Amino acid sequence: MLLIFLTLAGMALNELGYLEPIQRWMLRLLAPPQRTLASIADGLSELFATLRELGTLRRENEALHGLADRLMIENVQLKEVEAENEELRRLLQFSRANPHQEHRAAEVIGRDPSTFLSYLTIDVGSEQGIGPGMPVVTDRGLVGRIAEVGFSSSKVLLIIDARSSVNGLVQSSRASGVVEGVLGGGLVMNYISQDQPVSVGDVVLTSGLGGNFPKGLVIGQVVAVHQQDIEMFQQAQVRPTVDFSCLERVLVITDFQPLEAPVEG
Amino acid sequence: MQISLYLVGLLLVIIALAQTTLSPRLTLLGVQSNLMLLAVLSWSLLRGRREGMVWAFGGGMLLDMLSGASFGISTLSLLLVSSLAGLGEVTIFRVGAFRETPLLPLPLVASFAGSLLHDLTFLTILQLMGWAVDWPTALWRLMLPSAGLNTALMPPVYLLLRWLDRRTKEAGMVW
Repeated sequence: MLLIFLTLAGMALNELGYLEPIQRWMLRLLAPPQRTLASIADGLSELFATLRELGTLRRENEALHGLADRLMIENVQLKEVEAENEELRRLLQFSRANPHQEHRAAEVIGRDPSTFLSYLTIDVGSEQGIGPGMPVVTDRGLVGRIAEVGFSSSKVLLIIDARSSVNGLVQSSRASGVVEGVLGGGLVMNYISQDQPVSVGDVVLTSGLGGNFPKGLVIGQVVAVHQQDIEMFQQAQVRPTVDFSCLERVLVITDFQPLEAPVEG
Repeated sequence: MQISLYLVGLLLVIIALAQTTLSPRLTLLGVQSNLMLLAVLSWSLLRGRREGMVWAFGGGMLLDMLSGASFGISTLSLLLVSSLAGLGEVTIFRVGAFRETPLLPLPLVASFAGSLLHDLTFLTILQLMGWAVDWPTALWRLMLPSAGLNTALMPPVYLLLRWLDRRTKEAGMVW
């Protein structure tokens, strides 16, 4: 009864405006802790919301990580495809520029395990019509010739191998010689007649003599000439135009029948 | 646990394939490492001449099949090196002290000397078969850098095979 009376009295006093100063003081007094409590409540509310979303966030995070990984892999694959396309485009251009030759594209799948030998293994063999002695080229020039043929792979003797020799000629002066590989890589052009001018920078091509290679394939560029009057021939150091260390794809000239198959081993 | 010949075969195939695909990309001064040689040397030091020569024979055959050189050159070179390394295992290595040392002095020395001996044998056979070998160039430009690279790569190969040796120590190779 007392409580009801006090409540009714309070309502009456409030209506008459007597409680307003007390209310104002009470509000002033309570506002700071209220603000603090409100911010704590907000924080707690956010915390609970976060806890509720934690599972979802973790799943989303995992999904985003997965997506990032997939995109990275796709990116790498696309770059690889782009590089492959670029290389194939260059080989195709070379093939189109030489319509008189039939080419078979091949991928390099291995290299010789020895430091002293320069062979490549390519992924085409007799099943694809490859035969011993067929010249192997890229858009940059002569690579070598088929030394051994398997059913689905072949070994290519590179022109930089010490057993390789190619009849070549200097493009500008038409001086002929024999371009031979050097142990450990590199090329020298031997047996150049003393009366034939050879200069640094001259381009060396296959001469077609001997019938082992078609005429006119680029071999390399002269980087040094050794000429002594007492010797019968000049010698030129030739830098191959093909970078053999990073060959990935090559073309085999399949319609060329060499007169002599390369010596194995 | 014993090491079966099948496992050895599989290991040698993996090493041979790595040598024709990975080694040409990991070059020093234009020369490539000889992973098969390192594996054969390590196994000869760890298990002696008999098992080392089995590895040399199998590994050499695989390399010869993958190489453009005449068949047998790698096998002969590896057999010679493994037989000498196996002798080293018998006379020096079994004292035990070298096995535990982290610095691996003997395997390192063996890899350098073994690499030179392997290359010397390889080139001699090539020359006997009619190849023109420029020995000074071969020594300075190919053999010494190759020996250096092989020595640098010996510790991981040796430690890996030492782990395998310990896992399969009890009865040696199963025929």
